[in-house]
Amino acid sequence: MLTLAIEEKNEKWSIVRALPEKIRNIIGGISFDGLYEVRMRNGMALALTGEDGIYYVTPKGRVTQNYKDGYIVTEKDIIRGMELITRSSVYAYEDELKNGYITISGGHRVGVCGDVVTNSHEILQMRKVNSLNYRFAREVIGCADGVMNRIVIGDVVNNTLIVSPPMRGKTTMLRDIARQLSVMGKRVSVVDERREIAACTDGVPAFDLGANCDILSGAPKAEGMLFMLRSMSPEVIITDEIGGADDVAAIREIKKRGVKIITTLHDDGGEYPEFESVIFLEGVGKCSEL
Amino acid sequence: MLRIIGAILIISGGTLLGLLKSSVLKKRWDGISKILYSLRIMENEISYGKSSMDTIFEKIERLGGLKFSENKHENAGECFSEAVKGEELHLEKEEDEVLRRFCETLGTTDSIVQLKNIKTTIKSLEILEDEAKSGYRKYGKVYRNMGMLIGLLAVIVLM
Repeated sequence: MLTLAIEEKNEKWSIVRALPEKIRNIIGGISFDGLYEVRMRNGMALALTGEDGIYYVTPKGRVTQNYKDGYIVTEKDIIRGMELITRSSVYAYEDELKNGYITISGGHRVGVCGDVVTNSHEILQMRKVNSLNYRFAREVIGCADGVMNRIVIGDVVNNTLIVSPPMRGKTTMLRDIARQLSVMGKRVSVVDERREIAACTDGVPAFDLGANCDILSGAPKAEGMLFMLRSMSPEVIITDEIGGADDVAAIREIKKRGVKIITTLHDDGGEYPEFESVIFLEGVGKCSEL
Repeated sequence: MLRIIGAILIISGGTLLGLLKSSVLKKRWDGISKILYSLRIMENEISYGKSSMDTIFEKIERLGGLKFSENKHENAGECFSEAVKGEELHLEKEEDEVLRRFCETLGTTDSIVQLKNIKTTIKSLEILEDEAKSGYRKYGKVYRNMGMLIGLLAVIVLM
């Protein structure tokens, strides 16, 4: 049996199991606390991104700032990494590959790039993978404590937008908001297009989202929100990183039905009239403006 | 008395050899059928569910196809190849070659290429299955009868 299937849910560093064995051994002695990414580029030094910048790892597992001393990632490492992150089933992840990432057990995201096959306007498939970027997902229970009083006033949930640049913890906060609302007894529906909020594996969420949460994984946001509206009779719909016109149209439809929406957006300096609460994030749990 | 016992032993031995030879032909036919059955399950699972290989292998085993649970590989091709080797299927070189090509790309391509690969393998194995079937029908009975007759002939010659 494919041994990756025994990967345990909620294991703290389950991401390690998706790294090729050789890389796993090299970085085995390094603390992952404060680590954001492990980057593997074919023919380049193995790199780690942490709170204070980029580091390289030598073949003996020592951290260095000189990339010339780093372990050089081979094509074999990349192929093995792909086998592990796709559970040896590339066809099952072809839609994710077109979008450039695969979410693995534990909610961690692996960015993928290389040579692609396209028609005139869209990517059809990934022909050859050259780089893998393993991004760590973290569950920070209680990180939304400071904003819950702005989201829930009395018993009423506000339509809420969380805005920030990338990598400031939007998804982490959104996940905790979903959990807290669910624990409060609200009927929460999560539309998890990128499988990052709940990180379901075989239908079971890797993160704690409380007992009143229904999760739709992998569906496009606009379509997914309307699907949940019809099917699960939610009080609150939660989804990550809205952007397109169809997302806005779906949000308007949801609001018309009296259902509340909580979502996130990359900071674009715009106006957000659809939302009663707008939270600007500087880091997980750190809000500059409400 | 000893002669009679010896004659019985020689005839039984000949008959047994014939039966064994015939059962090898039958096992090859059954083996190819079992692989074909497993591949058809795989084809359906990829076409309609895009299930991952570990899920497909579990299902194949549950439905009476090849057995995967005792082999430990992280690569789908090796896993499938090991499952075929793990059973006494009495396959011949032609089947081995078809399966080697199949396993090389198993799980490494998109669904269109993966399904084409499965379909091609099924077609090739169907031809070999027909061969194995007609081989068994043609020679199975011959081997069974021949075994006994050779035993009988040896007894006559020795007597």
